[in-house]
Amino acid sequence: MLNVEEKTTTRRDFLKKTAMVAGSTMLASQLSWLRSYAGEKKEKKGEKVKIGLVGIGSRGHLLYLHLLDIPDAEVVAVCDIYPPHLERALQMSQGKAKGFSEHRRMLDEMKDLDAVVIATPLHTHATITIDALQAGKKVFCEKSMAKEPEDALKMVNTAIETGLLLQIGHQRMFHPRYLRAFELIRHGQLGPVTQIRAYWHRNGDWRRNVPRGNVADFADPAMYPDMEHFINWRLYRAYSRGLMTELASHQLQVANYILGSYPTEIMGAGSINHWKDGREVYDNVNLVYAYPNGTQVIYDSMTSNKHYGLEEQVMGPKGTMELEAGLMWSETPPPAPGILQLINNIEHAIFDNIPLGGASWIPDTPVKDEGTPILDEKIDDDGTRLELEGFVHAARTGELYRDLLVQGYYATVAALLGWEAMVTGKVVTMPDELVLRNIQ
Amino acid sequence: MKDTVITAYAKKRELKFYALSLLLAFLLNILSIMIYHTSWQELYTQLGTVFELSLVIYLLLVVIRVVVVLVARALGKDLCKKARQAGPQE
Repeated sequence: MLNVEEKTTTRRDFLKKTAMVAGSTMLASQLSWLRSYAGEKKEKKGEKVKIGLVGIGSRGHLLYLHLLDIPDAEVVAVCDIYPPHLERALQMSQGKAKGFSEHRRMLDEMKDLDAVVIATPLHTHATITIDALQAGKKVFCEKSMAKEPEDALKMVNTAIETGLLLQIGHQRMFHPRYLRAFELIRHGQLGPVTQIRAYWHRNGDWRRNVPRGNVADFADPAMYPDMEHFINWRLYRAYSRGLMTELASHQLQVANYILGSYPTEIMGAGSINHWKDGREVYDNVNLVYAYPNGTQVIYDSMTSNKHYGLEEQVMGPKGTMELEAGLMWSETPPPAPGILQLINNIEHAIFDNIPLGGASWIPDTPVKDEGTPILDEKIDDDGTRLELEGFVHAARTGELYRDLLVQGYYATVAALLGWEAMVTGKVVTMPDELVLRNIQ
Repeated sequence: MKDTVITAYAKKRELKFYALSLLLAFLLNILSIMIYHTSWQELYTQLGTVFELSLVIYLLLVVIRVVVVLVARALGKDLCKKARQAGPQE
């Protein structure tokens, strides 16, 4: 087992290596966190980043586990309105963190906090983020940013006004395989990208078990009428935009980054066609996002079939990439070795049927080639650990990662406008007032 | 079960047949590079395929040789039988 110092060195080396491999040239000039690692901006020696963790449900629990393993991070406060989650977090902290049931109290009492990590239900992100920024804390907030585009805009503006770091949890921007893919795409491996298809398919009702209890004992009953709404908040419109904000925003962020823009027009349809259990958000969504250069992103997500899983398929005249699978294909693969061509032709000459009449067309069946790996190295982390490392690094160096904030913002806005397109049944155009003017 | 003896002559003969197969496979590789205009690097990058092909050619030769021997034996027996039936020649 590695000791702390070795672990730190290994992790830092890995991040530096990622920065070098994935962003040796073009990408490094575009991604602030890669620049930061490649340039080895000096961190403050010996000081840990004191973090307050708000929201310690399933995602928050995972973030906490990662933070406990990051030597430069120290979780000194944990906050959750749900007592069982708070108790579990306090146990994990082994007495090193103070517990709170209200984030404002945490901000008031813990003046020495450097940063706040937020993994609460979507509808609370904006309030907690803005409060934390105004209290002078650097913020990591899980995606999506907010339930309403205007709230996401307020979050960005508050970050700019306070001059503080606001990082949104889009871990694919830290994943070496994705970074390598971005680099290859930027270098023209696929030619100009002409279409992106992305999907996320699951087969499950997306429900959590609802424990017995009175929600009024710990939460505002005006906000949550019962435990079902409190626990399964993802299924109700008062708290969430369902598949769009919980899943699609990740893939829309990837599409936005690859296309170097945000969608200008969105159309779509969604429905509840399988899980008719009282939920209010769609259990299947289908959208087309149009980008300024004429490229479309075709997106769908469903919860009644998992055969195809999740994928982002990026296509251009020279090739195709599947980013989740980590594979790529060329439209003009190199010819097989001569000897194999010879054997193949001899086999065809001997065993093929003699055609009586030529086929009038050849069916456009999919290419069965196994593809080439985008990155040879296998990465166990889905990027979450790396993005938290990146956040802690930024908190120590004073980096702002504004480019990542822009990514998080437009991914959220794209997801929310997709929701609006489905709910209204109309083509939605990106409103001018939602376009960021004060940040690049 | 009887012991089987493989003579030195038989071993040499089989080695010669395999060497011939290997040579044929190698020549086929050169020929295919010329026909399909692929890289001359395939002379060494495709050595694995050449060895596989040489084994296939060797097995084909074994089959052909077995057939030839069987046919020759059958024809030989038939000729002897006809000779016996014809009786002594003047």
